[in-house]
Amino acid sequence: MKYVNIANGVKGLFIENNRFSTTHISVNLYLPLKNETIAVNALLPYVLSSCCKEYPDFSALNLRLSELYGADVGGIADKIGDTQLLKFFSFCVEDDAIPEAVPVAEQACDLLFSMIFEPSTKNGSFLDADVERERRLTLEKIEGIINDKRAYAISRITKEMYKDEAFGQLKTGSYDAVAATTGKSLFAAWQEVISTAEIVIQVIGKKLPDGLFNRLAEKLQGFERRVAEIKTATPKKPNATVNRIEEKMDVSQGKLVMGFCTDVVGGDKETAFLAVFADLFGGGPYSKLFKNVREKYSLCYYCAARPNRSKGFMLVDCGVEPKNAERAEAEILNQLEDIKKGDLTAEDLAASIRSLKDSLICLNDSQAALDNWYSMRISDDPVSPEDYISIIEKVTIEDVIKAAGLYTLDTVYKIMPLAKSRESEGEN
Amino acid sequence: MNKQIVKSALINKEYIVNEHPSGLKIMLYPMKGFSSNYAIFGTKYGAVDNAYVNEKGETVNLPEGIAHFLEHKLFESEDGDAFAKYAKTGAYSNAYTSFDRTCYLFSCSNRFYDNLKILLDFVRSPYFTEATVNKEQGIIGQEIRMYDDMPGWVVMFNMLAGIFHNHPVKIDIAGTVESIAKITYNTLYDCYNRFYDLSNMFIALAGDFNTDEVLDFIYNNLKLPENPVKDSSSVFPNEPKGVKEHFVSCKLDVAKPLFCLGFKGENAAETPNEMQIVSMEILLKMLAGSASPLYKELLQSSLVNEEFSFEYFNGRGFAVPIFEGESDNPQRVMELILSKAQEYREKGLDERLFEAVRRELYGRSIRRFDVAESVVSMLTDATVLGYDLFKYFEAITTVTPADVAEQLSVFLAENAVLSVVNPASDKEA
Repeated sequence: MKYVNIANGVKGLFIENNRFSTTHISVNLYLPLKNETIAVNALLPYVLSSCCKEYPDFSALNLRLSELYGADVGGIADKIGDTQLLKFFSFCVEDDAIPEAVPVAEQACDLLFSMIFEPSTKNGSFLDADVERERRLTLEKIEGIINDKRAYAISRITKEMYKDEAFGQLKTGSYDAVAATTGKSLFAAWQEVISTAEIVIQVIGKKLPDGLFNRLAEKLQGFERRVAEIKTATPKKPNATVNRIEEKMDVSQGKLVMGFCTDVVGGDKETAFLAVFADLFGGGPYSKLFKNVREKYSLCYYCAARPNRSKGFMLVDCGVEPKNAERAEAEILNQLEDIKKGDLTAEDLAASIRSLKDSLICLNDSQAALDNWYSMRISDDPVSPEDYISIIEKVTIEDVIKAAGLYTLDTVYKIMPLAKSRESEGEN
Repeated sequence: MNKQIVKSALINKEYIVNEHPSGLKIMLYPMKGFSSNYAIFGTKYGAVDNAYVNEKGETVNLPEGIAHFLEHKLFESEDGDAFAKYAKTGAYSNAYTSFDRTCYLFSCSNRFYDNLKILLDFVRSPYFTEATVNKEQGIIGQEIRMYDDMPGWVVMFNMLAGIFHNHPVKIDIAGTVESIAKITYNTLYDCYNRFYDLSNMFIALAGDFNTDEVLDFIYNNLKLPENPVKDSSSVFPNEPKGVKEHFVSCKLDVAKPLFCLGFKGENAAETPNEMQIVSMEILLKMLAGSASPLYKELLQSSLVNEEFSFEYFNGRGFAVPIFEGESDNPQRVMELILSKAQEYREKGLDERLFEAVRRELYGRSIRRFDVAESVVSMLTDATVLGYDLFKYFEAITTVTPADVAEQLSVFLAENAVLSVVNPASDKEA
């Protein structure tokens, strides 16, 4: 599998897979993640995918998508280390899977390109109604993070750990920056993004639609392309003393998140041993955290470690009875120390590698998972799940012990209940 | 071995069904060329099965949350827990308890038969002791606390408590810290023996395998009970007509009020059939789906945001259409939904919109056959509710606007229950 060069800074990847009754197409735009542009860029996929020149009314567009047998055509924003990803996708049943002779897949793909390249605009500005609607939805999404205490705790610790960097921001950018976005600023961002992004189009399905890559090149011809350089992320230097933050909320369960840093970032080859370590430490039910913090000490329902490959950190999070929070933290650190001291068996490692391998092979059964797999990797050669298996199979116990030693505790974030108890109103 | 091939000419799919002499239903859906296999060994026993009548004719009431507790405990057998066994094969394994079922599952890309053997063994090997029950109370206690802090969960159960007077679907699946404290290893054995009788259970598998081989393997490895019960029935208390409360609210740490709006129709305490499900799913999309005029109005007047959703919440013995979301004015959202339903009743349904959402439902449903997990989930739904999976697809092609219009009668103010979770910060105001 190789990338096909389509134009300046534009690549195509076709992943042949005959299992599905759908074709999955994604257009991925990669840009440097910057404080000044994160919010306005992140709003783009939402405004662009809500309407276009052909369908300026979002209800009419949605009706069209329903008529195309429920085609999913949309966009999202994400961050990968110090890079921002704007992803546009089209996911539609193939023509042979429906009872009528309608070229639905082709029409869904046309809509995808229309959304990205032919937006509904007027006099160098997106329309106020569209911007206002999507801006409000994003602002309410930001406000609503607090409704999910686990997600909120993770967003808060990320902000604390990377407070001086764009990476510390939410995927959407900050509330104030989103609120300040206008039709004009969004239009300028759209032109800049299309002109400067590194672009990768990915297709997963039985066949590559005829002339698809050329059509993308044609759409880009109206833009003066000057591609911005995408760099490997800079890792964080850990705090000299652990930064501790505690918030009080009206909750019954406490949340504990511990952020650990390494200075190892990079591609799959350089970071695979960290992923294996994190899985053995706090991945599946065979992991140290599950077996001890949950099963042996009954401290939590969940206690998991999640590594971030592109930025070189790891978060361990759990929901815990407030009185047990300190004990849980101590026990999580104990488990880490045990690995550092070499207190793990060949079977511990084998269990992790088996489980990781199994789930990597299963990725081939999901178009969305495969699409995500490739788009989260920015490299000159695509690394398939199978390639990655051959990398993790070489990870040794010594590598895992070394990985454990590379992590330094940087920040501890807690949500703890208010002293007062919760009351129900019981109105009728 | 009576191997029945169930076919659909309409969507060009087929699967194998076999009924084991014990009454166990086995469904095998081959997916040629796929890497992974997905399996569920389940029982038609969930949180709603909270009481039964014993041989003496007495009603036995069970502690709330016991089906879920049993699910956690079944993972442990006398010779170690199932997670440890799956760790040797690399499979992903899990289990879940819902209102009307308990399912044990794995997905794997290799050592399929080893994994199937583990599944067949541990689900048939209960091992409960005082010590293991005590240990689980701490873990599940934390799971319950987690749900207590999830506003989406709270707003939904408050709605169900407003809809139903007695129906056990309003019971929180995990129970309460107090109710699970009443669970002993003896009650677990009683429930296991009754509700995990093979005649109440099913196996659903999807993946690239030889169906004859798999069937032989199951027959050779399934542990049979010494004394089959054959009566796994539970009893539901009588549910009066009409809702219990029209409005329920509480406060939590949320940014904006959350709402869950449910409607109690004539059949709220019944299991819906294929056509009812399809008709209601289409109606909900026509009322408030992304292409509907109402959704446009709700978005443009800032009454809802992307959290807005709806579903036909249904299962074995319950059926309630619901709308959920965040809004500064949930009451107004409810009024607009009611008035749109009234408009549809008076003026009839828009044919173009009907056809569009019918196609959407067809396309989205057909896509589910691309994923082993979804296939197993569809087979499980059909088994638990007692309908035919392929008839569901036939219903999507034969449904008419008149079928859909029949479902409109539930959307009346007298049937509505609005549950709201308000931000806690208002408390000081």
